Amino acid sequence: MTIETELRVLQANPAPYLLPGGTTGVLLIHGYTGTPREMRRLADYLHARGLTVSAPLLPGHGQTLDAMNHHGWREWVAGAEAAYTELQERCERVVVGGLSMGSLLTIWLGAHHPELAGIALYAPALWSRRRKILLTPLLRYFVQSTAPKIKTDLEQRLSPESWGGGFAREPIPAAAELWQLQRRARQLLSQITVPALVVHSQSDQTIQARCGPETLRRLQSSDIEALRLERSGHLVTAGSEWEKVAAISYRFVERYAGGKAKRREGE
Amino acid sequence: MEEKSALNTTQLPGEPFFWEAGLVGVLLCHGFTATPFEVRALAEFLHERGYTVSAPLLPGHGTTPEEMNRCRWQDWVAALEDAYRQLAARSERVFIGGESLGGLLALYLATEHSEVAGILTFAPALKIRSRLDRWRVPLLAAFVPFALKPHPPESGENATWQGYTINPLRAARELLRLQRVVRGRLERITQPLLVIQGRQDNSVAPEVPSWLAAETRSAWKEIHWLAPSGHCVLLEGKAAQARELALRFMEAL
Repeated sequence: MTIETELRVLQANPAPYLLPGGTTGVLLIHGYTGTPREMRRLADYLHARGLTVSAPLLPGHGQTLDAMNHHGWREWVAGAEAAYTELQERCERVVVGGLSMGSLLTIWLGAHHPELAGIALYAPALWSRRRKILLTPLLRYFVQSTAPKIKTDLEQRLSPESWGGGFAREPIPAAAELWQLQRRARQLLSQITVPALVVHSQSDQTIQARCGPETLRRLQSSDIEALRLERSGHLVTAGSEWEKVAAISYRFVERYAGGKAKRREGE
Repeated sequence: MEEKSALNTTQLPGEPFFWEAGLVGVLLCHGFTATPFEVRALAEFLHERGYTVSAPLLPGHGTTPEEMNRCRWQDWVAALEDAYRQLAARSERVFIGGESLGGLLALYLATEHSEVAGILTFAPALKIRSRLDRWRVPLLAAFVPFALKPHPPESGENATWQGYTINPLRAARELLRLQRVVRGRLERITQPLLVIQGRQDNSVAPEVPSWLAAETRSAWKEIHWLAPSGHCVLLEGKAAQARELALRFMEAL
């Protein structure tokens, strides 16, 4: 067994999970072609500190290439909305966090749910580094998938949490849907007023370097916190600096959703 | 006679101060035409909690507006630099910060001293809000030494603010020059950065905090908007909250 196939076995459990805890809930949304495993270390860290954590599996994900291609951004949004509603029923205050495409869905939820205690955007994928995504809205009518181009960073490829390497080929209609979601999220950012945490890495090879700064420029929140990592690859919640990310995330939840959090303006 | 009273200065304690305490130092710089009184409440708050605090008086301030008009921005930087060295000589770590022009100077100083532990900016005057003033000040400054302040900071809730009640235009032109310099250096800033601004601020442009968030390269940044506060976030509105946020920022690093 090569290392890569071994990793695929490790990636083989894409199941969503709910870790019951206190009255503050955190929804963690995985990325494009990913699974809730990408969020597991962060989820366990937060759960160990008394928070209720839910990590849904987005429609079309964690299965086959075909399933990926047959679900679009509207269904991903619906999946995130449903998971949020479910968590909201269990908890008094909810913070939503998302990785990569999950952060785009988090932006969606943040713009539509001003009652959120806060949002955490991990490696916000406003723009992909690969130009090919610009062609996918056309390409999707001719091709279902293309040969993969391994351009993601080593850390991401070797990460057992990453499902992304799990597909043997790259889905094209799904990529076109991702592009659609990116466009919408870029616009929705300026409607966000809830407290926001942005985590981005300067070694990220998957999204463009301007993603972090542009996210920070567009947010309208009264409280914005930003962590800039050096070594991590795209999967900041599972990379070499994940513990720092987890500690900052917990502090963010404590500040804006926890009992100790100060009452903010407008309350 | 009336003009003379406008040129009059201090009625309140506006001298520089240096209060010794622990090994963590905080350098706090007042704003344009103001005095260290502007940062005094924050300084007292931090000193009570064990921080050594230094608040210098910038050249041309606390004297007369005429004297201020003779200052260049380099003079302000040099004065703050001196205060920084004095504080750094007896401290393990030094935070630097300031209100308005003071925040702008702190950002400048941070680009020269990478060892600074963190930067605290309160309504940093990176860009002035009034488009008219951005054009008018450099033009007028060539002909007229002073102008009336459009939004006198000492009015209303801010009755405690002290400093010149008129605008020394040549000094204001220096402020605009320093803004251009600092805007060109933002990506040299890598230290933890705190930005606090009031939503009712009439002096500093509202895009400044998001610029700072987007263009500096700090590993850690916090931006906080205070809804009821105007320009003098350390004196009015939610000044107590601004102090708490500053303390929290420093203690978490």
